[in-house]
Amino acid sequence: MLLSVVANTPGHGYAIAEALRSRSDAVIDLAEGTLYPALHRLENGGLLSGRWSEVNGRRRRVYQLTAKGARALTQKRREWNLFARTVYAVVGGGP
Amino acid sequence: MRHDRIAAYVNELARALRARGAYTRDLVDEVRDHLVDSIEAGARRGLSADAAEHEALANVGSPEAVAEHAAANVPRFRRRMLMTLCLCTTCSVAYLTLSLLILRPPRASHAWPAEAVLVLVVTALTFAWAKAGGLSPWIRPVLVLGTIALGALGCVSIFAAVTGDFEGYSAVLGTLFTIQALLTLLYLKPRGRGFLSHP
Repeated sequence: MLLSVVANTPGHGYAIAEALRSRSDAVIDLAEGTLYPALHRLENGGLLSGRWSEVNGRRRRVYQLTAKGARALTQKRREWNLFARTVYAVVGGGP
Repeated sequence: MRHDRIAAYVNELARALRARGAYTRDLVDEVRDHLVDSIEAGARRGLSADAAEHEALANVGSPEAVAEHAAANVPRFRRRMLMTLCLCTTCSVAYLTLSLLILRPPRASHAWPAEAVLVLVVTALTFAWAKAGGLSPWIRPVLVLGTIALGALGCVSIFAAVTGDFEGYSAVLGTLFTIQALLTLLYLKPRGRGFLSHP
């Protein structure tokens, strides 16, 4: 989910948390502080790159997707779609 | 006061991270910025300063919860390596103290100050390594410089043993300390960063 949020637009942690909340209609309501260890984990894995920069006059750490992250996102989307289709096929219904 | 509570939260977060060997300045700075953003957003929605701060702190989660998640990022190997280095140094201190200062005092009287300094340096390094679980900003330079000093003293011990000022076994000890210092420096070198920079 984090990879998909920054896939189109690089963003800092607060913006990513806001995007997660608004895209999920506030269903995803995690403890926002735990977002940063997750972002660092993705960065350590080479899926995101983070750098400090000035945003609206404030110093922010902005994250963006790397080429490796883009490939991982494509793969994860494929896996998720397969999983979702399988569940719908079993329980019925659909998006 | 608004800033006092934010500062207290940030301090508590830093303490919780260090306790788990997961401290990084970036993480603490980002959470602090997040709190400021959240308070400003609350104020824009019409909340009072106190209510906005309360909401921001509630949304960000407890320092312990954040630190628990961050601790999962610290490689298990790194934690084990730090503990091993700490144990090695503690054993070195114990051996050096017993063998040089109690059981087999150095033959040459002027060897005492050098060996005493060696013991002090190694003892200081033991504490440094123990604290290094958190790799806090202030401990890293101390750890690197202390390790260099340990390597230098190891070389001095070897030289003194070769020239006859120290007894022969000092050469073995000096070699061990030099190797230990080199391994530690190699281990401490962050990828793509300087020795003294914080990871």
